[in-house]
Amino acid sequence: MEIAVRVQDVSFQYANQSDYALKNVSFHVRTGEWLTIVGHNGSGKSTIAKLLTGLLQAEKGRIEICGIPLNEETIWKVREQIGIVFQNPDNQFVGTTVQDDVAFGLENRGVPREEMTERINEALKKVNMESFLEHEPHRLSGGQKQRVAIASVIALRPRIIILDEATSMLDPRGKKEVLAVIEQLQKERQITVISITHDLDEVAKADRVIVMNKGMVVEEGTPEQIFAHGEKLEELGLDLPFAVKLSKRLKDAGFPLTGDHLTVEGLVNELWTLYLKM
Amino acid sequence: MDIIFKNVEHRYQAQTPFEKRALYDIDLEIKTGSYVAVIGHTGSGKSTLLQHLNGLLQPTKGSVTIGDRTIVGGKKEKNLKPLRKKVGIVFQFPEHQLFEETVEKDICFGPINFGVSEEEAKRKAKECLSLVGLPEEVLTKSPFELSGGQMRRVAIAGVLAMEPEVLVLDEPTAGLDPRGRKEIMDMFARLHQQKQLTIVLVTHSMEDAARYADEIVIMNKGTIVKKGTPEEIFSDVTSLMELGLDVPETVLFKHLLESKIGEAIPSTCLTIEETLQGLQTLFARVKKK
Repeated sequence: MEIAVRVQDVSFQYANQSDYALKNVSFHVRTGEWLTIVGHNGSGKSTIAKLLTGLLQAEKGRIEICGIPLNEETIWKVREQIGIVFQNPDNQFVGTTVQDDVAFGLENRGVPREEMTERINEALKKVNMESFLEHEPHRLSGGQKQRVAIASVIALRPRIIILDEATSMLDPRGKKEVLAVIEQLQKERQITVISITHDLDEVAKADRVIVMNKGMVVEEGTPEQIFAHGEKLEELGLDLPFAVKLSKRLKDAGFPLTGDHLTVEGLVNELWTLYLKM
Repeated sequence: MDIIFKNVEHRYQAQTPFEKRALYDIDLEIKTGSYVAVIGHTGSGKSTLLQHLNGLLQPTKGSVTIGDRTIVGGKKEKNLKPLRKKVGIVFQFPEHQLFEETVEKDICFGPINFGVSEEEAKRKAKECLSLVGLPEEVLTKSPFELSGGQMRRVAIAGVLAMEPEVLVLDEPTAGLDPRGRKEIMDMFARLHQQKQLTIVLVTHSMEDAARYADEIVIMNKGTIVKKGTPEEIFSDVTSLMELGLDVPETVLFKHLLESKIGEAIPSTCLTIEETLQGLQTLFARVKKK
């Protein structure tokens, strides 16, 4: 089993802040795995993304990306392995047209022109933006912009993709499309995905979830295991899937339900059985 | 202050090769004191529509009446300052618009530009800061020292300080965590009730639209395809799905369960509470039989 990302005992403190943003954080991500990091605003999630890409330097601890220890000398090599998609695509645009924008990263890597054209087209097709080649990025709507930002990352063919709340501005359909694209990349190309999010659909897509609170990892497990914590998650300021919430309310109200009901279908089925028995 | 759209059309970059029709056939009335949610896909014209609410964009056809002002398509309207004071827009990620040295100066910027004295502006800054749930000591801080959620509240306070009669919110909770989302949405609901503010909310969240709005407007490809109360809108699940829109999870649940058991849940199921009550009534009734 290959390890794509290994974080060991990492601590970090922002200047002029009394509390540590991260305190002795350790976790790993396997190659080809989808890890979701959840936690409320200020829990340290986004700090992790910045440390992994070397935008910030850890005060203490060790980070290894695809077997390369992250330090000042390896930082450029490490960045070649990672593509990051941020929350707000407006801060990520440099090109005057959509295709120029996707080309930017490729130009910096010295990719030959012919291959570049091919990769741009392929990447934009993957995010359903192939008919926007000549459009100006700043005139696109929010969701379209984010899809272009994702295309820019895909074109570079990184081994790891970090989504830092990357779907929070998309509409439901746009979000589904983007997540489907990422899922496909994960499966086809063994790309490792780290998604930092509040979105329950992104949590459900994960192979494994870690929960952050006050700069520490407080829970780790599969989505089912994490959602089973119920109220504890709500105390951390996180939402629960609707089915979990309604199931709990029904039980409190005396409905003799047995399961935990992570999905609406599961809850509907048990209520149906109950209804028939009466 | 009622807002009336009559047959509004908007084309971006009209009469150029880039011309694009973003809105057409918009007829809409937003009554004083109402809470209207505008729903639709990315690119459906929601944001274009809301920029007409204070004349940031002007119709290329038709007319928009906002209180006593009417902006007619094709005619360039000037002196829109009074209008912009009455209609405050909170854009997506409003914290990106913060720029001053201190929170107080930032909140005062709007009112001072509208001719309010510095003293009065400071008084308003204090008042609005407490409205958005931030402590007074934040006033002297730099807005950039605050957390994302706090910055957003400051930006919202800056809009409230202009004392608008209509508050337009473009996805005000995007990117916030669930707790922050709920706090901000409850705050707007409170302002709506206490100050009789008219609210126009542009959102992707069906849950928020169902919970907070009195009226929902659904947009698709540049025009309004449906209008009604949340009860009316969400009673027709199939047509929403045809538009590729989500329905609130509670409504989807109702739909699924009803089709299984072949009996209606006696509730509109717009919230978890309503769903719970509906199920209790249904099961109690079945038991009696």
